[in-house]
Amino acid sequence: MTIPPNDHLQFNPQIQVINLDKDGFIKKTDKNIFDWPKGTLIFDAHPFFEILRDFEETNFFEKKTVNFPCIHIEDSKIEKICDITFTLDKQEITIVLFDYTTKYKDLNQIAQQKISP
Amino acid sequence: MKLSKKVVLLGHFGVGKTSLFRRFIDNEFSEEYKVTLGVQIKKKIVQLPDGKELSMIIWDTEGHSNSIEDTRKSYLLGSHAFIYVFDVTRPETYATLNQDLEYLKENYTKVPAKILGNKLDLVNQKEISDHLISQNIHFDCLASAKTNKNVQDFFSDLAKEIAS
Repeated sequence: MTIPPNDHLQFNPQIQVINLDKDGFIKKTDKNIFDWPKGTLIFDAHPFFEILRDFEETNFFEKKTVNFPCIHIEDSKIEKICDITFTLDKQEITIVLFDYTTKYKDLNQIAQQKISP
Repeated sequence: MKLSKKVVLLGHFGVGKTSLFRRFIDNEFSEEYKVTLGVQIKKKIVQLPDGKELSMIIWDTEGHSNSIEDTRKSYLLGSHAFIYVFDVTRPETYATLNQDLEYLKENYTKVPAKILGNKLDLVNQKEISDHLISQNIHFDCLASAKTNKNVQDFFSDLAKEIAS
């Protein structure tokens, strides 16, 4: 069997870690996936993050960690499909993005072939 | 600060959630059927009658094949409204509607769920309305993402409701 050259990437995602204050401002981030500047609001990066806007008034963080699989995130430059984890600790939120674009695109192709309404 | 509300599109696969999403957000429609994997999210600013603006954050989720309970729970967190979409031409897409609504009511007590039958362009409105009512299927709107019939009004009414 021939292994495609990029196959090893499917389960070794690129990871980006972002730290926010409780108001949603980016305190610290690497730029492994998206180039979102420090000091800006995470809500402006992508509408997905708006769910964090009123997290204190909802039971959003009933559990300390919340996972969102298969989220399509795009900015003006790139489009990725990520698994995203939010963790709340002492009023600081840590976001971890796992870039599984290749894996999800392959799955999407398979689903597309199998399902037709 | 701008008012922001999360609205989640739910329903079986192939009912046209993505078509409604694209029609409402970008006023576009495509005949090509593409399976949604996971969720895509976009926002649209809606002007309210009192002059204020509402930012509607629309979550277009992947379709389920059996029950709404298959939908990933985290996708529903922090929602302000659900839109349950079914296909008026495919009875299997509203066969579990009443039990799915019951599930939503039990688990998301404060979140309103609206019912929308899509693909109205393929049927006679009076006939399908009568049929659905005879099947005990209660809906808020029958619409067509393809022709844009009732789509903008539906979202606009929903925006007013969740903003108040």
